[in-house]
Amino acid sequence: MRVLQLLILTLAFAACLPGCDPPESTFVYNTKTEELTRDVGSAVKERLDGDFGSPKNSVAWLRMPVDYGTFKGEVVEVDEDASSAYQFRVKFGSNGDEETDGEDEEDGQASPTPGEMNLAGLAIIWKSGDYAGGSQIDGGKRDGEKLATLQVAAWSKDEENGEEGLLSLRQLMDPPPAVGDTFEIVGHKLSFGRQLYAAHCQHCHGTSGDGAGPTAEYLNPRPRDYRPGKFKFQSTLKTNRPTDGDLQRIIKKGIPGTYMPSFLLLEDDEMDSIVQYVKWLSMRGEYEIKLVTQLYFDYEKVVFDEAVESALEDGLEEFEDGTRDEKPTKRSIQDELIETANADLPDIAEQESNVLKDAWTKENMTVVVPLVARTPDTAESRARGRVLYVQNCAACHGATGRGDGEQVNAYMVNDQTREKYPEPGLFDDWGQSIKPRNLTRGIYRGGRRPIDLFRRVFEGINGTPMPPFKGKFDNDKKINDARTWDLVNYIYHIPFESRGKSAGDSATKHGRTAASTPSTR
Amino acid sequence: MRYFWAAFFMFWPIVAIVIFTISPAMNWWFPGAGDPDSLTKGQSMTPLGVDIDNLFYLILIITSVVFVLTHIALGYVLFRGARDEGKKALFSHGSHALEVMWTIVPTGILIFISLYQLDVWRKFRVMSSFPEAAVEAPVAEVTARQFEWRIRYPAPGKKLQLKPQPDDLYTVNDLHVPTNRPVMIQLRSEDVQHSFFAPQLRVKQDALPGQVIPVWFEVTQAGHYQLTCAELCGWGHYKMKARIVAEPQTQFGKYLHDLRNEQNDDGVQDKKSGDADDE
Amino acid sequence: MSTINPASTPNALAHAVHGEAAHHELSFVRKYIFSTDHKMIGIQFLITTLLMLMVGGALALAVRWQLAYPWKTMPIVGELLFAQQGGQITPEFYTMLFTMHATVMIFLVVIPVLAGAYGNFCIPLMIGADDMAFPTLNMLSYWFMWPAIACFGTSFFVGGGPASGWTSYPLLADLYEAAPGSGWAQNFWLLGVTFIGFSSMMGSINYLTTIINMRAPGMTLFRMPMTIWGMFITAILQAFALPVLTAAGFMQVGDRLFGTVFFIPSGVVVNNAAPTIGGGQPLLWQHLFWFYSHPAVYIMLLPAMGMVSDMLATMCRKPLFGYKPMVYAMAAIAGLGFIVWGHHMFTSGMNPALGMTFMISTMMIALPSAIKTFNWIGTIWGGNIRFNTVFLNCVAFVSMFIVGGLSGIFMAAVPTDIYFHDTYFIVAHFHYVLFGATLFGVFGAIVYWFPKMFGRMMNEKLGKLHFVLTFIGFNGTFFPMHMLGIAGMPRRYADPYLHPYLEHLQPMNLIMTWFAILMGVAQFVLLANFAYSMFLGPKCGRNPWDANSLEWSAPSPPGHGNFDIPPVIYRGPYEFSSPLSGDKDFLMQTEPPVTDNVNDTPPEPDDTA
Repeated sequence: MRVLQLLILTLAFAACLPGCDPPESTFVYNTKTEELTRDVGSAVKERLDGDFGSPKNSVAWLRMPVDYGTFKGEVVEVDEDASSAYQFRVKFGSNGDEETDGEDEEDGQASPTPGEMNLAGLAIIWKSGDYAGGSQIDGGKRDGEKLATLQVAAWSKDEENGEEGLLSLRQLMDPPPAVGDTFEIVGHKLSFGRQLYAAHCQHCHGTSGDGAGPTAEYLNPRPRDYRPGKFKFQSTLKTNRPTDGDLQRIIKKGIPGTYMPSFLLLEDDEMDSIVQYVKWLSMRGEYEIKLVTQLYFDYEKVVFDEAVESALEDGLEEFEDGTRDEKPTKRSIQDELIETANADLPDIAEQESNVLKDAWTKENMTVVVPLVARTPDTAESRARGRVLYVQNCAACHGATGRGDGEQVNAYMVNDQTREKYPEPGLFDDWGQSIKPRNLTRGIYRGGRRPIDLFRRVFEGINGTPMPPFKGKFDNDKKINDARTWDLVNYIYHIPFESRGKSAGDSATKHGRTAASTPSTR
Repeated sequence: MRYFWAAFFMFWPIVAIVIFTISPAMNWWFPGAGDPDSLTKGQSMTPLGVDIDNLFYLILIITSVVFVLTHIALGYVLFRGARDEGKKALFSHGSHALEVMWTIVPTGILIFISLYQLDVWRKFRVMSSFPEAAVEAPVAEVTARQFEWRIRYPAPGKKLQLKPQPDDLYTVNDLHVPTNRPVMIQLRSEDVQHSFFAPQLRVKQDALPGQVIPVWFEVTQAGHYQLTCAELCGWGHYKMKARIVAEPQTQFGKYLHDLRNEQNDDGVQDKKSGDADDE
Repeated sequence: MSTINPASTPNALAHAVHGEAAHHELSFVRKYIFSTDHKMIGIQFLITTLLMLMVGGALALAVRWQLAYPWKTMPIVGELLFAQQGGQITPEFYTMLFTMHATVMIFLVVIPVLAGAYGNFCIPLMIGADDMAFPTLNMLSYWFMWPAIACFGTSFFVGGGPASGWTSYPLLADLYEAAPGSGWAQNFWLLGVTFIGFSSMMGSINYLTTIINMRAPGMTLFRMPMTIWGMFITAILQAFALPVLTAAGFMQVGDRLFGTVFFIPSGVVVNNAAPTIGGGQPLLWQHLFWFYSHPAVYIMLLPAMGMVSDMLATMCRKPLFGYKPMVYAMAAIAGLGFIVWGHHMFTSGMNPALGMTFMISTMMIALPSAIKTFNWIGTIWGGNIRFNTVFLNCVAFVSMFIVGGLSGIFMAAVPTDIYFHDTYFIVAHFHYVLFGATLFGVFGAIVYWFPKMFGRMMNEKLGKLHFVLTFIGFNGTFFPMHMLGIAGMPRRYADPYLHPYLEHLQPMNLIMTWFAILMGVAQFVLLANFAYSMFLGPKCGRNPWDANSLEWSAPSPPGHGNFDIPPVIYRGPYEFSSPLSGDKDFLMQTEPPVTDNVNDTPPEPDDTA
């Protein structure tokens, strides 16, 4: 019997392993957010979570220019008996309702159907019928709170007709939806993107896109932190955000010379979803940074405490003067200040989200297109390029293009803090040491097409000390572009120039990989 | 109980054989077997791969026979032992004849297998027996790195050089080869050891840092095939997912041409040439 | 033989009771911890390796979990270490898991449990010696395992853990940057391998000396039980192959720490470090590593083969079928084992002509294995079988070894190896040999020698339960791996389903994982049985199995110095059911001939070559 008991115990132990509640993955808040005084900090977090949700429960904030993925559907049959229903038959796809908001669907393609997709947890927005309009979750204002929380519980498609099937909601609807009501289910790309992000990207780029996943500390260069909204390799102006195409291109081609591998074989829908999720993460991160920046000046813990102290002294004086009738306490002053902050927060959020929205709107991005075609790659062109190179590039990239210009040994000033870095060399906006590209290796991180190199030179590389050279070579824009092409032609030639001397193995000059010093930090 | 135990040891070989028999239909077999939509249907798409498959099936038959026979023998002795409870065991220290028999027969079989396969191995690996056409004009250089395959083609009409040339064409994770002719690639590694593994083509060759290793194969059917890494190369080992696209010579030529246009894209000329920016 | 003094020959053991030889009492520390008694050292090894088996098993389950539920919350481990990611592990953690699983299982379980635990315990007892030739060295060999365990244990917690696989191929293992996070972890790992190498080396020298010099009167080489032959040949293998690995390990340490370039070619750029300057050759490591590690496979197998031969004969009450061919086969395996290492490297890019020679030698090594298998079946044939836990485990050994051996032929054939190299087919193959064969043999041996170790019998019901669960779990886990291999699933993939041609295999992996969990749970039954029987099992006499070999003539457990009656050997170890034995069906090696005029040496299998 003892034997049996033991066995049951061990089996029960084994069985409970998968049964335990798994921890949810969470977003990490910015360090600055954590430095805010407690109440303000939690107000910011609350707003952030309300607008963007958590990884497991992402919110498709319709205000943001992200293609969250929409399925349009129509109720075709409701169980008559139920006074309040949460399960009804619907039809997707072909309903030609005109209520497109014009922001997401640009062409008249048949809207997609979910197929076998798992829709659980997605928001559902009623477009017509009793619930229409009540579930706008746009604009940070959640009117019709009871309907904004409408969520899909499950969707099972019919065997024969993929457009129809049973949809169940997590909540009861009273009165039940009527036949003919139309609705939209929003966010499938976001949730699909989240799944893919978790499998492919998260362990380096981190759950919150902060470039600090568990693998990140071993990588050189560090994975990108999306939160400041800065992306290095983009086709647009330096101050713009990258287009979807830019992000896709990086994911497809990888970044040679770094640990960002190529994910060329992702399906189109997978690619699209990942890009949308990355954009969404970036917006979330930047939104947080912007909110906090607005409040940081007044509500950082230390500052805030000092402010309270001084206000308390002032208040007491006033109290003694008789100008106030109530003796202020520390608590009351704190409350007062925090109330001000909370009152300001919606406006700040409104304002900052508008800024973000504009920044990521495609119409506000300018793609860099050279005014003239590439100059033929001739010796003369390269010679002109060489002159430009020596004047403009050699300080960092070195006279021979090895990335060993004198700036590498100079002490730089941090743009943000106006302080000198403690170590010589170049630093990027993420505070990491960065080296000018060694151009002799023929590895071009942002892509090796002429247009890629042109854009790198013309607009610089966002977030790095590589400055834009637009207009630097000539006042006439066309001539300037032509000169830029000369420079590009020369850069292409650098790996072949040095070959005569060191025959490609630039290796030998640099000392072997320092086996004894892990250069991971 | 004694019979139960004897039966216990006979039960699992039967299950094993059943599983093996149904495997091809269940798509637990060579890639694509049992999947009606698949291009390969479990067949190898290279002639050499067909040889490998044939050898596999030959060995499979031999080993299955041995497996069945040994387990029948095992079952027989177990049941006999179970039946003869209480009887004094047979007093025997062995049999010379049997020992000789079961030494010579396996030797014969093993020597047969060894010699039978030498030719396939020679064709696959020995440089001097590579098809001449393939050796003369390697299609591409495939460089494995953590964690992707970087591919370098010579410019259309040119030969692949050992060192990069200014007009070389580059792709990543996307190796195109012409069908129905032997092609050779130059395999190298930029960092650690990798292994070029195309399961549907039955090709596998490690990429060694510091060495260029030629690999040849001939794809008989146009289509997309998997290319993976089969040698542990670090944390992203499983991420080295790429494809081999086999296409008729004309299309392959067109592909290289398009690739050259894309590579020379200056953002101004030839807007059609596949700038992915606005897709 | 001529010196046998009838007065001192042991009496028939029927009347023998558990007589403890009276010796001076040792302190607790000297007796149980820093003991120089081979039996205590053997038991220490056994318990240590059983604990390590649980560690290795837990690591395996973690690996299986990831394969069944990729990127889902991993119970306990993931929840603790990766809470922020929702318990989803990272790929480098997965790499560490399978690296450490292999390391623990090979270096801390299989090798020490065979050579360490049973080698130590059985050798002096079975050849009639009172202890090992070098007792202190013996103690050291156990205590050198602990620095190894400490090093491996440390390497878990330094950085990301060793992440180059147990094969530790350069350059992945050679450059700090290549396997990020494995920095000092890999150094500790190498140090651990070195320690375990020292431990094995001390053991093997000891075994060789003991077996050659300390056999009891009458114990000729061909009267030694197969277990001793297995240990003897293993010791030779270890003594000759291990230095190569140790040297290679030092070379790798040199590359990692002291700037040598044995394995590093020039111009390699990893993780944006400066290009390497070298001239080394990564293949060199593979040659050196496999020069040890292929024989190591036999180190992990031969002793088990020997023990199974003994246990089978005893449980079938029948002489071992073809004793001498078995010995020769074992020697042949060992000999050929030294010239087959290249079959691990068929696709590595070494000279293809070498591939051909290695292929032929590899094919030939299948031959002695086949001979052994046929002989085991022949041993069972016509036996009066005792279907107990020991026997069941031994039959499982034979059955699983057949599968593992046959699947080996696919890899021995170079062309098919092109396809199967580094796929799950290999994983299936070596688990069938190392787990299916060796560990079942060990499970049998635990039960078989338990009475001699502790003077108590193990619980038969629990033993059978453990066997059945393990057997089902084992086959459910590893048999489908053949299919995975044929489907082309490469090993060491954290997420194979990323690749479209492997997507459909996920349900299969899920089922395998649950079988693996069943198998893991079953090991608790073994531990429970072990612990329970150690203190509460029924006491037993000297010879509970009616076995022939020498250790059963000693008291259970044997006292200090092993034999209360100095043993003299008159015949081989397998005289079961001999017509000479009268009513009994066994005739112990120590039992004097019944009459002088009967030639009681074992009738040789008249003819064996």
